[in-house]
Amino acid sequence: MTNELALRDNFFKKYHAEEIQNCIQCGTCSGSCPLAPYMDYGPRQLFALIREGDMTEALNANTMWFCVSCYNCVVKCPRGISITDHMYSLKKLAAEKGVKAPKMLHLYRSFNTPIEKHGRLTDVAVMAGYGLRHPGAAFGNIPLGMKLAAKKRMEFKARTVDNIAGFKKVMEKANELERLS
Amino acid sequence: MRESKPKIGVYVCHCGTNISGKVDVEAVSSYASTLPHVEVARNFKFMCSNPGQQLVIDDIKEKGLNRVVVASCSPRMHEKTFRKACQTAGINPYYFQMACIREHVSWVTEDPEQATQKAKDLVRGAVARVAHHQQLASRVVDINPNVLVIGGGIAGMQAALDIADGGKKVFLVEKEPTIGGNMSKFDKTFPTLDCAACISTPKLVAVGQHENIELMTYSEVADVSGFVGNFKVKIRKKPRYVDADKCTGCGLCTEKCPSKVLSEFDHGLAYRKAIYSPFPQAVPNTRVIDAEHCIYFQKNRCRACEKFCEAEAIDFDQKEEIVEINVGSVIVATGFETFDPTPLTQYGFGRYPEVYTSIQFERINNATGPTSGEIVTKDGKKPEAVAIIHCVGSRDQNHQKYCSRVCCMYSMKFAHLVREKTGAEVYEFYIDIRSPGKGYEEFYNRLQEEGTHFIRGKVSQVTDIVDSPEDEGKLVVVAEDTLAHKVRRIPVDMVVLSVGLKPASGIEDIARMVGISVDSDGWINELHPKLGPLATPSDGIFVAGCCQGPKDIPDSVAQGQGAAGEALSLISRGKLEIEAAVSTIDPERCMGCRQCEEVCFYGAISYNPVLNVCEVNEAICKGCGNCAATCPNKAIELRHFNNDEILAEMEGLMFAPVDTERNFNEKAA
Repeated sequence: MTNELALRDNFFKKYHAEEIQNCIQCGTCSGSCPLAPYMDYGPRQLFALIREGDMTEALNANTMWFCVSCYNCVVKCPRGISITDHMYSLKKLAAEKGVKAPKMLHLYRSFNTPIEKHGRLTDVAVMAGYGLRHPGAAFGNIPLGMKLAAKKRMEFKARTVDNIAGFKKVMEKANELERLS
Repeated sequence: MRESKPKIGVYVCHCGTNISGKVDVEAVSSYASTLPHVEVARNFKFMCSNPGQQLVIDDIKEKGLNRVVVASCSPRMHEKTFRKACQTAGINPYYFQMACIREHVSWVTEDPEQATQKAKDLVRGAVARVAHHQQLASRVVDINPNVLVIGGGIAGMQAALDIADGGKKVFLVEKEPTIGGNMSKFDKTFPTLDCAACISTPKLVAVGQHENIELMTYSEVADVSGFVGNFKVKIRKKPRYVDADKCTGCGLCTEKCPSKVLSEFDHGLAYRKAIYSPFPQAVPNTRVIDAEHCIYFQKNRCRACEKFCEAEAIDFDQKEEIVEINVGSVIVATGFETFDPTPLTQYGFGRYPEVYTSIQFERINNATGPTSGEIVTKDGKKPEAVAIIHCVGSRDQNHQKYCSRVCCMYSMKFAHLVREKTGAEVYEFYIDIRSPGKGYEEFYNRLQEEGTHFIRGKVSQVTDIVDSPEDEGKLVVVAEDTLAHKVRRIPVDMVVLSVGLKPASGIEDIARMVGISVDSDGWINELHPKLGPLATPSDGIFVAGCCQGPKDIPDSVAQGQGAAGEALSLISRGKLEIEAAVSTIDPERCMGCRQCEEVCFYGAISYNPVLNVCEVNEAICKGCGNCAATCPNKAIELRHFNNDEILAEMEGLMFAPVDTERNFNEKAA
């Protein structure tokens, strides 16, 4: 078995994604996806790639990073496939495999890091995190940030949740479960 | 009632090389001869052949055998053959037992030694069992030659006509005021495009006029009791409020009736009156009053129809009637209804006036329909573009998982009709085109040549949101063109939803009454998906047409004729032998707990409240043994499978020692 197929089988098993094989390629998902025009592959095509074992190609696609979890596709899918859930799994797998990381991955990381640290999101922390990774992109957003600040829609002070120790325990447990699965 | 000591003959079959290729048949037969009570043990090339059977017959006569064991194929295959041989030789056919050493041994066991051992074990079990067999006698009952057909669609009509032509009486029950079913709503039929009315109307008339058919329209089956050959059926005749003998069908009453109701026959696209006939060629042509919408029944005034009827046929005092009939067999042909697409909100059915279901579109195309056959929008304009969406409600886990089989073909028929009548562009949105039938694929090719747009993709939504100037005043159909990898937005004037088929409402009630089951989708379960497509597990009950699963007109007609053949074959036997291996209830032990009644799948057990016991109708009982296993008092005995027989067989199977001799003597004593 090639590495690609092994990776696919592992993906199916670990993330309970075998149901991707049930896809009848009807295109309901891509047709109902509000972000489909921005994706390299619609969910339908992505699934076609995955089940034939084109994992590298699938993991390098931007499809899952553009998924906004609106669940439009899941509601309509005639085979009852939890497409959105698989998009989450694919994001994890892509991050894990260190494939050519798109900007989106960095945005996701910029969200996650402050949460792990403070238990909640702070605007400035997200901006700073993303700014460090993509200074150019962040620079362009400065005018927007200023407007938000003027309207007091921006929080500068990083605040921590009350029971940060408890929160960290929760995260630890979650990470442990993740490792076990 | 055991007679003298058992004298058993054991016959091991080679079945060519089917058995002897794996099992050492010599060893099995010589082993069998050492078993208790075995008088003679032989092996033979083909036991089922005439010389093979003769071997059994001769031994019974010459050696005075009174029990026979044949180790060969499965009882389903040849139990009857050998029972008959026993009978010919003069012993009770139930003194025979079969050991299955082909399907259960030679075909499935790899190792020859193990196979031989297993064959020996099975023979030992059969020998131990047959010693305990009892004499049983089967009973014979008369078959009533009348047939009941439930449902007057094309399948039911065809079945009724074939049986009636064969000289037997048919009761045809239809719940609507007219026969004809769904087919009478269609305009053209695929793939030949012949007119549905032209081919179905002669059938309607033939059914209406046939001397052997008693037509009971606007009636429903209320109760079915009895068993194969002798069913008692109660039929509820709903009041028409019009005397069928007097009504001439002139239609003056309909003309004068002031009350307007949305027509069920036109699926809500047109109005009918409160006194009406669904369509001009209806059979019978007797009008019917819809009491729910009749001004007289609701507000106690009007009676316009009565005033104008020259034949004086209106009878507001008609009451519901229960008619009892006796029949020997029943054909269930209740048909289908179309899936209601309202829950699929993304298609906007009910929200946008220009979204139609396929059955509505059939009515639009039909000359007797709301637009007299012209394809126009509700504003009366000719459409420039029409979208046809396949698989609405079908092949969808959220609705119906199955493929409805006919939608691809009728959708293409629509495409052709739209092109022909309006010249509009037609977009077929499909997942897969399914055209397995004579001339069907050719029809698909013809449609391609006609310039129909086939877009492979399931439509994700129909919307009136305007994205570009050409969307103005149109419905926009959004779908991924999966072959071009592109999401397309196509503005159209009309949208047709090719809705799937589902079982007609009320099918569960009918299935329950006649003692048959429906599958998880609601279709009737046939006896065997390949070899018994028209029979059911209940003897004397047959199925035809769409109630068994979606199918097109040719298949429905074929099934109607097939079911008629099955019913005629049953009738022409005249008498029916009832299997002796049935349950019996000992009234002394029964405490009337009725648990057996609950587990009986065939409805063979009934409760007698006078004696507080349950009773078995032997003609219905199939000998499945559910009741015997359930009975807490051991009051039920399944003949031919009683405890002695089963325990003896199990002892024989599991314990090699020859204890059966002692057991038998002890029990006999």
